Amino acid sequence: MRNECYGIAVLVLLVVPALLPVSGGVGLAAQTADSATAEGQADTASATPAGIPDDLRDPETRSQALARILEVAESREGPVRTLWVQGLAVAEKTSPEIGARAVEALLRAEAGDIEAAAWALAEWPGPDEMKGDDRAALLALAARLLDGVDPEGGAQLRERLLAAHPAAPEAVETRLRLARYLAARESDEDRSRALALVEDLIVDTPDHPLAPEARRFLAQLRRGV
Amino acid sequence: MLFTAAALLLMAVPGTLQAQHLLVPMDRQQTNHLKAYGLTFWVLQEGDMAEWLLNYRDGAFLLPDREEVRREAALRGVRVEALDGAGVAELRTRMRQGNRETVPLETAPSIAVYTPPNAQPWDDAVTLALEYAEIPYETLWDPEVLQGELDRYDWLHLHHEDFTGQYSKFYPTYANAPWMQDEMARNQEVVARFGFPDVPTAKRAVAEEIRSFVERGGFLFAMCSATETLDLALASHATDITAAWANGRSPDPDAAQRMDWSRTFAFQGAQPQLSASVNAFSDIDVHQVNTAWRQPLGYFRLFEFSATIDPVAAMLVQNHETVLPDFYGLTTAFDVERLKPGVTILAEEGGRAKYIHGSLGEGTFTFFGGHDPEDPEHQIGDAPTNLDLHPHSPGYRLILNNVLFPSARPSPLKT
Repeated sequence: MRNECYGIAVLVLLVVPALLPVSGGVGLAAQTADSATAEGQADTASATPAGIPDDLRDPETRSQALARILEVAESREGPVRTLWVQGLAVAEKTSPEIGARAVEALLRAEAGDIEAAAWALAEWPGPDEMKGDDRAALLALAARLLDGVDPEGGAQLRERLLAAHPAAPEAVETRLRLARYLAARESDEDRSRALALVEDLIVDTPDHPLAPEARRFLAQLRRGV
Repeated sequence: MLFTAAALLLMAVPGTLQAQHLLVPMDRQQTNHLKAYGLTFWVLQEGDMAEWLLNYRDGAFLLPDREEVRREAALRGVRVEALDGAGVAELRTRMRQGNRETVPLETAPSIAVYTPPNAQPWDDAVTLALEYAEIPYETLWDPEVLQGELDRYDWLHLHHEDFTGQYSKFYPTYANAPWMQDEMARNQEVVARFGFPDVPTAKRAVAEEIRSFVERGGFLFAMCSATETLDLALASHATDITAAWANGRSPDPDAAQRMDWSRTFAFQGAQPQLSASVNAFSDIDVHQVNTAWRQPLGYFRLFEFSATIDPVAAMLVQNHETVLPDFYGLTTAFDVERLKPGVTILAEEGGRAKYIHGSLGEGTFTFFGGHDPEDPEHQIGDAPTNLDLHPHSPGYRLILNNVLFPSARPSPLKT
């Protein structure tokens, strides 16, 4: 239920504003930046994400681009802000090109093309030297984008992430999110798999910050809630 | 992948890999006291034996070292420490020193919670504790008790039931509330089905069944108003102490003189509260929470018992805290002047007994005053206590001591 609510929230925040006839910008980004400027809380240009991908690719403007991603995140609300923060995390820890791709996916999603943005990010072959952890980060971000519009697709990406990159930093959260998705389904097989995912998460990473939440979820699953 | 998980799990447990036993500390090192009881119960359910180390590390448990036990401990967030042969030998030596005793735990008791069919888990601290500790239980109510189903269980819990049949004397205030209407309808259904003249008579019959269950060797644990009203119902078989709304008659003005305390578990010589407008059952309860003369809450202290001489009482007070904040219930604490000889006071606050224990026939009973140890002033309709916020609750530990107590095979009383 929680995932469904979250998904709906993402869908509303991403898609509905994008469909509004806002002049002088694209959907939510421009609208939010305008209102922020009106309140004197943020500079319109700094909160507008256009140009960030190219700036990320340029070593001379990369650090400013990273700062601008944070400004964009701060100008957003709710799950959209979370997505931008995750985009910033990807951009900070990966190569310039990978980070730029992540931000481009967020921009495309904000323009309303969420599914295509997510799948393009997930299927992007990437540079030859792309590390496994970088691939995992992109898959996790793509799955997050899909949660609101195509939960099954999001689950597929998480299965792919866990199969190919089980030790990636994103794997713990991915297990929990996938488990919640599977537990909400009707089949006993899916519930069993959800149980196994949560148990493995706790046993493998008992001190992870998500372990207490996983233990609570496990107790619910065992009670059949 | 499985191998990796198992290897990581072993690394997560302090101590050697080739251990014989797992020690579950119950002192402040424990990461989740309440779930530790559930882990121990689970081991017993799996057919293994466990040991309760009375007065060692605040009531630690010793479990067999199996991979499944380590995994379950990790899943529940319970700290365990591996002990190899030398460690176990050292532990045995320590257990022989001072006021300590090792009590074998042999079987997982079958647990019944007496509760109306539509009650929510958060109506009852014991149910909350069992759910949180992941200890399985079944529920039953008047029809099942009257049909003799208590014999299927080792351990019975009662909570805020009113065995005098007066709906906890809430009727004057909540007569039209939907939950009160439901409760009355359910009770009338039992009366009609079993041919009783009224609800108080039906409840007394249930109380008698519970008394017989304990006489035959059952373990009874009661909290809140169930403690006081169970004995009032048993003692009033030759008189009438109930308000007119419960049975259509005024109470017997000489009821106090006609009470038969030979039938009761713990109390004697009490004055039943015959006034319909006073929300109290008798003078057994000291605090009288719903009256104008309500007494304030204080702190109660757990007594220390000799683990070697009186292991039963020692088991029931194992805790990492000895002074606990009090909490209200319809019955909060018991006047020590009303206790029968032979009843053991396990915890007391000034002249008020909070937690008592005794024997009846082949069985035993434990009464714990109050409603919810982590909700001192619980009100009708309050949100349930979230035990995730209280994994070390010393009050809830006392409840769970009682759940494991029937598993024990203590050595015979030495005095």
